[in-house]
This record gives sequence, C-alpha cells and structure tokens, in this order.
Amino acid sequence: MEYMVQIDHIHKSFGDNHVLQGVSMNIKKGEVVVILGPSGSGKTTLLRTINFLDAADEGSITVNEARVDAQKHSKAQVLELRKKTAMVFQNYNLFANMTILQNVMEGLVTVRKFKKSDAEKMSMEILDKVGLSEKYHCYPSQLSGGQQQRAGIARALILDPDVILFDEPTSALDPELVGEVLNTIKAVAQTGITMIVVTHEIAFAKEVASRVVFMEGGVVVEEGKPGEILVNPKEPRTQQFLSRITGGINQKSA
Amino acid sequence: MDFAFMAEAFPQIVGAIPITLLMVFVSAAIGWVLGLLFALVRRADVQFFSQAVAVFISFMRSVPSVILLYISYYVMPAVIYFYGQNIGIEINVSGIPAVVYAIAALTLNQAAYASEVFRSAIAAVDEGQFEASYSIGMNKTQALQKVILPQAMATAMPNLGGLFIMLIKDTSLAYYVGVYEITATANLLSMPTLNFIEAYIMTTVIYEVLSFVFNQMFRAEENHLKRFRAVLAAQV
Ligand SMILES: Nc1ncnc2c1ncn2[C@@H]1O[C@H](COP(=O)(O)OP(=O)(O)O)[C@@H](O)[C@H]1O
Ligand SMILES: [Mg+2]
Repeated sequence: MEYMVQIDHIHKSFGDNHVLQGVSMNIKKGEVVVILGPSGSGKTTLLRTINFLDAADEGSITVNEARVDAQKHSKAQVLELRKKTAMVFQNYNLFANMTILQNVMEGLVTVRKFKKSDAEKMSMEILDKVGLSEKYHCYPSQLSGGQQQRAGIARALILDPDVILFDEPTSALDPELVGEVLNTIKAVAQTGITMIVVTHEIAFAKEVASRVVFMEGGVVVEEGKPGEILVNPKEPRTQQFLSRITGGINQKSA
Repeated sequence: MDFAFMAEAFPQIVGAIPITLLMVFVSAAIGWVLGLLFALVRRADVQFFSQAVAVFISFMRSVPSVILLYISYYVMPAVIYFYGQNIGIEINVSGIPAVVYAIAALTLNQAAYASEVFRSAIAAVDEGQFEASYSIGMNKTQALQKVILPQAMATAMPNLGGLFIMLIKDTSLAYYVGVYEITATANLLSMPTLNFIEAYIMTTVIYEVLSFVFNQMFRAEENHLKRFRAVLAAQV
C-alpha cells in the first residue's frame, strides 16, 4: 500500500454545524504532517474522526490497510483502526487512577495481552527515553504538565502505532514547559513514525514538518512544504492567520 | 434504671447482631451490584430498560420502606407460589423465613439509591478518560473496568458509606414482619417488665457502635481508593 493514512472525503456535522466539509489527505509512511488553522476550524474534529472517537458522517479512513467507512462499519473494524493509531491529547488525559508506569503498560497488558513483566520492562524503557525514569510510581496528579504530556507520548509510543495523532500537545502547558515536550516530539519524529500534529508552534513546524496543511471552515485551504506554506503562503487566509499568530514578524524577510 | 434487667437482656440483644448484619451484608452486596447495573443501563441509554429503571428508581424513592416491606412480605409469597405452579413445582411458601422478604425489600431499596450514587459518580469522571481508553484500543467494558469505575468508586464511597449506615438502621423495620433482629429482640425482652427505656438505650448504643465501626471502614476504603488524587505534596 502506497499510503500509510488515507483520509477520504470526510464530512462531519454536529447538529446544523457542518464542521468538516469534505477533507481528504494522503499521508506516506514517515511523514510528519502539521495542521494549522484558527480555533473552531475543525482540526480537533478531524483528528478525532481519524481514530473514530467521533464517527464521521461520510467518507472513509484507511490506516495501513485497515479501512473504515463512515456509513458502513463494524465495531471490530473501529477497534482494529484504533489499534493502528494512537493519540496525544491537549489535556494529556492520563488515566488518573494509575501510576505513570501503569498508564504506559495498560495498552500492552489489556489490549495487546502482553505478559505483565514484559510490558513493565518495555514501559520502563520508553519512560526512560522521555526522561521520566524517576517518576514510574507517581500518579499523574503528582506531575507537572510537561511531565504528564511526556508520559502521554510514552503511552502512545509503546503501542507501536502506524500513526500518532497529536492534538495541540503543548497548548495547555505553562510556557517554560513547552520546550521539553516539543523536544520529545521532535525525537519521536526522528524515529520515522508517521505523525499528524495540530499545533500553533510555527518554529517547531518549520523544523520537523514534512508537510503543512492549513485548514479553515472545515476544508483544507492550502497545503505544501513548510518552506512554502509558512514562508510564502499563496492564500490570503493563510497569510492572515500566520501574521496573526506570529504577530506579523514572520513574513518573507526571515 | 433496672440494671439487673440490662445485664440479663444485653447479651441476648447482642446475640441478634448477626441476623441484623446478615440482612445488611446481603442487601448491600446484591443491591449495589444491581444499582451499578442500573446506572450503566441508564448511561448506555438502552431502549426500554433505561426507562424501566428510571421508573423503578422514582417509585422506590417515594414509597415508604415499611410499605415496601409489607409488599414484599404479603405479595411475594403469592408471586413465588404461582410462579412455582407455572413451572410445575409445588413450593411450600410458608417455609420461606421472613428474613428473606426483609432482605428482598432492603435490596431493592439499596439498588435504587445506589444506582443514583453510581450514576453521578460515573458522570463525574472526565470524558477524556473514556477517550484516552478508546484511543489505546480498549473496548467499552475494558474502559469501564480499568479506568472509569475505579475512579467513580472513589467518588461514590462517601455516599455508599451513608447508604450503608442507613441500611443498618433500616433493618430494624424487619421487626414489622417478625424478624428477631436487634430492635425486635430488645422490644420483646422489655415487654414483660416494661423496661422500654433500658431496652432503647441498649439498642441505641449497639446501633451507634455498628455505625461507628462501619463508618471508619468506609473512610479507610475511601482514602485507599482516592490515593491517586494525592496533590502535589511539597515535591520539590
Ligand atoms: N462534541 C461536539 N459537539 C458539538 N459541537 C462540537 C463538538 N466538537 C466540536 N464541535 C464544534 O465543531 C467546531 C470545530 O471544533 P474543533 O474541531 O474543536 O476545532 P479546532 O480544533 O480547530 O479548534 C466548533 O464549532 C465546535 O464548537
Ligand atoms: Mg482543537
């Protein structure tokens, strides 16, 4: 199969609110796609339709040959799709009743049926990689936001997903904690895993994105290489958005 | 104060504690499991069952416990008898001890109240906890079992403790259908000599002690269950 992720004409409405109006995207293995767009443009909803946390109304999602049709699918197909994806949430959403180690192990033990001792060993290795060696036995409520989000990334990584979905992973963090999480995400990107990242961190996007997608009003307005979209956007709407979030200092000069 | 009476009666009243606790434990165990099921059925919005549960709960909350007990005691035997006939068995209904009907009534009562406790406790768990569970590939049962219910239990525990204490006191109603639990025993012992005051003092002490002990146990369990809520404790 040529593409790792195929998003095919996805439509999604909440009541009268037509949030996604036919979004399509084909993503190759190892691509890091950064999605930009103003608040309310449907970025979160798009990510959530990819793993069917929200079921789309029309269209289909294919991740590494697991195809789920919005209008005709079984529970088993959705579970299959979810096993090929992982998500990192804006609010971390670590399991509050589990320690950090248990959070990371849980998917291996409960979903993948690994032996507990194996799962524990693998989880510790991943936690070491994201710099949480000291925190195995802490509960999420005992960690800083940055530490929680790195644990969230470890929980996603351990499942060896075909694609990881990041929904504004740093926007709930205190500014001084953003860097540590972005660095972790960069390290993940370098492992060659396919990623879709919703973020407003332009510098980060320039550095790690293989493609930048600008969304507004439930459609993809413009997409291309970071060097094009972030530096020389063609669409006025993209230009306006970029100058708003960078305070107008970004344009061609740099 | 007739201390001689008290000295003689007290051990007998204490001897009624086991039957009281039997009613308490069986009613709480079955009632709470039912209550949890009811809460999940309502949450899942299962056609027909959800509405049936809602009607049941509102009925249970408005009917006085004594009436419920009488319904159980006078109506259930007939139901059991005719059900037995229907499936071709002659059931000797009069052989069923009264405590069974008392337990049935208390169980339904507990189920109704516990289902409300569980419902609000589950609703209090952040929706993101479900989403994170699904995002790693769990199905709904796994999410409930591993993530949602452990958190909901911590929230529910104080209210369940309250229900439990209420249940201990409610077992005294079984007196009305002739179960020799604590209150009934004390009352019957006091009748010949009219030592009611002494009898009520002793029953009060026993209920107070039971409540205190179980209250402590629920506290301990609550603290154990909510240990994950430990706040950033001077972790510098
Ligand atoms: N569960 C929901 N129910 C109703 N409306 C929703 C829901 N989720 C999102 N929306 C609406 O969909 C639109 C897009 O939201 P979202 O995807 O969160 O945008 P973004 O992530 O780009 O800010 C918004 O108008 C929002 O109010
Ligand atoms: Mg969003």
